[in-house]
Amino acid sequence: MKNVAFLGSMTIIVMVFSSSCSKNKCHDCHYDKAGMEIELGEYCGDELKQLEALGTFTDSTGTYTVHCHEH
Amino acid sequence: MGVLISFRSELQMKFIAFIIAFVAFSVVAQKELSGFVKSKMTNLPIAHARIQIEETGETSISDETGAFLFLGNYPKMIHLHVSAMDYESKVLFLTESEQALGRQYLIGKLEVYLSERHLDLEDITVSTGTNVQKNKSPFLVETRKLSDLNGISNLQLGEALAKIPGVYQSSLGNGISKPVIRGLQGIRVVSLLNGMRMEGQQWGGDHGMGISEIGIGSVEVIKGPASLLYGADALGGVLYYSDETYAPVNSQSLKLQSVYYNNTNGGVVRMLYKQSNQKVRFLLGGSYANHADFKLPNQKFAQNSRFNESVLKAALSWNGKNKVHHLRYSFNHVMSGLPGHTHDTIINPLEFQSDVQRRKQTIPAQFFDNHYLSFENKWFLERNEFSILCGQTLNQLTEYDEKVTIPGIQMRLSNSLYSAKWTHTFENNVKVINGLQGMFQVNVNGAEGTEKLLPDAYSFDNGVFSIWMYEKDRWNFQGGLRYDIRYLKTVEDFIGSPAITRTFASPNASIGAAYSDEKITFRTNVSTGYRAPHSSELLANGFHHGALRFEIGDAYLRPEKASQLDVSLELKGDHLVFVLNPFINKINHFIFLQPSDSSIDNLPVFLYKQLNHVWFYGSDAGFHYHPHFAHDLHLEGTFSYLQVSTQSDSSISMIPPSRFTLSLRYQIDFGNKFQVKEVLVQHTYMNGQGKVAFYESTSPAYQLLDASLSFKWNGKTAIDFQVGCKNIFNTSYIDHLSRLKNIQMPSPGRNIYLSINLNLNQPLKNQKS
Repeated sequence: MKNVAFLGSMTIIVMVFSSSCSKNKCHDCHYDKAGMEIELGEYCGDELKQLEALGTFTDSTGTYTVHCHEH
Repeated sequence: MGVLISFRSELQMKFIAFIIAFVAFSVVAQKELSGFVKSKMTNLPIAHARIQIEETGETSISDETGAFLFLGNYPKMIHLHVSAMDYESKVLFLTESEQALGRQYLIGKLEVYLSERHLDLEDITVSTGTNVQKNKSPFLVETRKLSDLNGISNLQLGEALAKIPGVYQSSLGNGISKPVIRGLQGIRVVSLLNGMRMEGQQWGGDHGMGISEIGIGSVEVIKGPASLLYGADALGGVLYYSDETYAPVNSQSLKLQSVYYNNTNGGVVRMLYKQSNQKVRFLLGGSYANHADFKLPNQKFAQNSRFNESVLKAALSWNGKNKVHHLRYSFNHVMSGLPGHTHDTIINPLEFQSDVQRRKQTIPAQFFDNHYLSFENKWFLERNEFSILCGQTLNQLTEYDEKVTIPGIQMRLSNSLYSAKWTHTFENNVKVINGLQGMFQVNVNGAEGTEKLLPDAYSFDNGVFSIWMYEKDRWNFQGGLRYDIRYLKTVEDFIGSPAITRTFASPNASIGAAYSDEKITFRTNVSTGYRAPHSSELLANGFHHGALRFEIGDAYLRPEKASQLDVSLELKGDHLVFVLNPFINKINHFIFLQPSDSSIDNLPVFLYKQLNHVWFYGSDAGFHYHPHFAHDLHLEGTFSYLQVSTQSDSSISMIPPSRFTLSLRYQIDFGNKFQVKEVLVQHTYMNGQGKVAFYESTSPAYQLLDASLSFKWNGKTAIDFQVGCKNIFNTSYIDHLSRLKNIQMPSPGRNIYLSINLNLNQPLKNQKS
């Protein structure tokens, strides 16, 4: 029983800490232009952080607010 | 050199002699507490009865001959709690002097006779400040085992608590649930975990409870003001969670559980290992839950209602001669999506419902990390009991609103607390508890957060109290006085408001009496409570996205003060128990959020205001029918009724409507290898609520039907199964206390679940002989 308890404990500890420490997450980002969602693709880690810190995307037609979450 | 060796040998001999003497003394000092548990009617032994020494938490299970044994250093005065299925629990107060006088109960030759009874009402309560038999407490304490509340599986602990009369839940989807006691919630409800106050930004309606059911054995609910016992803020009531009991002495146990819910396409796995020997006991457990968006009755999915939760729990207890120590730690991490996110100014409820069920984390979302660490010490000296509890809690709340990498809100709340109590029992049935309690809280905003809901602040609470208890014949009396003082200081200017320093102080009192015999228990109690305004109420000046409003505080708010008269009547028959518990609670200087006619950035502006007084009154009632002619049938019903009266109409929001529940449980025990154990059907009727605050919508009545069927596989290792269905008729309803009401999001539709439980118990190897 001790072995089962030990393995179970280790599994749960790993699950608890892995679920609370996952840092390098990825998200699909987009911006809204003329009522349309324009996809920017998937951004991860520092790239994602930089894009959100900037907060906007600029093309030849103007500057638009970037969102990296689902609607 | 030779002299040195000789000297070392002499030292070694002395050391060995000391160890032998110490061990011998320890063995000699150990006392044996043994006896038999028997049926009062038949005089036959009762096997598998649970015998617990309340002071130390040690437990023993009687064998086939009804025999049980404790061997150790238990205190000279103990409460022995003896319980067995289908028998009335018994609490024995054992002293060494009684042994000397040769009274009925002799230590070492104890014979405990239990009466056969269909309905057990004689549980022990611990939330009343000391171990008290429930029928001797002057106010009704609802004591529920978590296993009883989970007769039909619950996704969250708050959902389980809402099965107790007078207790409701205010939820934000499946992931966030807060208890509501007699119409009061949030900061007006104090939660304690094994006596340690839990602090987790509970002032916010969208902030979760920060506790999971893993390792929790029972919960006690004190309804109404309880400042005498627990200090400031407990105006609505107290929730007192107690850990599961440790494994019986010299044994170990392992509990594995897995539950799958089809509605959220998610589930939970739990594990709890316990081990106890003569002096040391511990438990270690954890759980992981993961749920996707819940399914609505219209077959769509509530967008971003997904959540996951990870929990770790550990407890260690050891005892010496006349003392016991408990070291406990628990951690939980919650990610909960916040439904209702939109950039549109005109809200269309359908845009929050999706055709696709998603699980992947998105925003807005809340992340909670809670750490609870406590160290409790008790010493037992003749007629005195001393206890000191020190605790440290840490709550970290991070909310991502518009960006997935940059938090909107980031707060860290640290709480250091202490509690010291001295209990003295006089010879003339008088008991007195004197104590000190205090806590030091620091709230700090994280550097990454783009918004602040609260300023950086700290507060220091201290309280001193004295409680007196007197027992005469069938009567028990209890009264007490307490004085609390809170110092609050904000350390920075906050959105245009200068830093403040406020001191709040208040005396509180409680007095009550209980009469109990075989047929009736009558209790009456008057208690007071106070609550100092929270810094969010004093200084708010900004958006509260979780609540979808702009809030403005008032730095000159006064403390709330409550006074409650609570009466309860329990009628006990062989087959029927009926409980009626009317109450009236008056709160002076009641703080509430008043809507204004203005808005900022399309969010309505709310102002914190005070009413001179508000009356909360109503009654809880319940019955349990267990007829002799149908021994396996249990019929239970509860009724909760609450009314609120103010001098100003429509000022109190989120008042729970009346609720009636009826459950029918039939124990089948059919089959051998594969056994059908029990069927449970539960009906809930929630009345409509037409009494609402400004801009608050009314709610229509609804009713729900839930059912479960339990099985047991009697293999080499017994496995318990349960299959159940919640909201069988897939009823579409919006609970009046649901925070999703403002986006017209219905509650979950039909939910079928399957639960598998594995319980392993065995004696420790070196103790088998």
